[in-house]
Amino acid sequence: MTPQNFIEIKLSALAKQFPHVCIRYGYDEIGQAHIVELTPANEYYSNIELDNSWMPISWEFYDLFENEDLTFITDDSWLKIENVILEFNLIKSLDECIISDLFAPIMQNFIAYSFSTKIPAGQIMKNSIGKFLSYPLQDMSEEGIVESSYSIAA
Amino acid sequence: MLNEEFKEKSIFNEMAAKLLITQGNPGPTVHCVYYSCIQLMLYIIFDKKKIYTELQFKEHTRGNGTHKTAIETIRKEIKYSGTVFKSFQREIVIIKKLREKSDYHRAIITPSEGYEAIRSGTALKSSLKLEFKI
Repeated sequence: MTPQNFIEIKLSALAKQFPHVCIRYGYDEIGQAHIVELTPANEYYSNIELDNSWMPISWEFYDLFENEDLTFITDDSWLKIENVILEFNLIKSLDECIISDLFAPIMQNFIAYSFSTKIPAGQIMKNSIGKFLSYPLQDMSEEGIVESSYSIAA
Repeated sequence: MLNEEFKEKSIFNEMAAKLLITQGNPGPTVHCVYYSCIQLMLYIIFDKKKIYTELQFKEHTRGNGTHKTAIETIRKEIKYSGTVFKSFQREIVIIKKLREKSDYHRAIITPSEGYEAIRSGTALKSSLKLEFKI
């Protein structure tokens, strides 16, 4: 197994375990090091579960490939991945995960919501140019669109 | 009584690095930062933790370089030290890359790379000093 094969297998599993963490892998020619970037940075610095998952990958890597270097960084590092070899969870950021998790039930209700196609008569609204509009009862359903005129109540 | 020679050498190289960067010499700055880190590791290995005697260490370095063996020894020693390991594995690659570029490539080391070497070396040594109570 090559170092790259090993990294690919391990990062693929890591990506499934942490779907909100973006993982990028590349090789630095001058530094002769395999670089794994984990973002967002707050996950890299504060997620202990993430630490407990990537650190064993690093230990195992050094046991298997003692002449190679591997580092796990985040996007504030001076080291940059110039040529990305592998990417996981690229699109789905943590913010997107939170929003979709929090708003999923609301969105379901919103989509399922049905509303009346009839506008009650007698309502008076003020339009943007200061004229009052009154709406007679209308059936807006496909079958029952009633020809009706809007009278302008000055 | 601990032998402090490697620790002193590490401090001298750190001082030299800071002096060199202020004089506008980022290339040699990187070189000094790198040696300052390696010498602190040697101090930990031989004197502070007494992981190896110098003779045992020489046997371990057969086929490998002194620097590589020192880095590997420290990496194993801090394997389960959480944030120290995290910092070490991050900074050592930066310092090694800058040193490689400074000493063995035609590329010019920029002042910002010199300052990055100082930052990275300071971070690495601080975490080791904390871990080994130096």
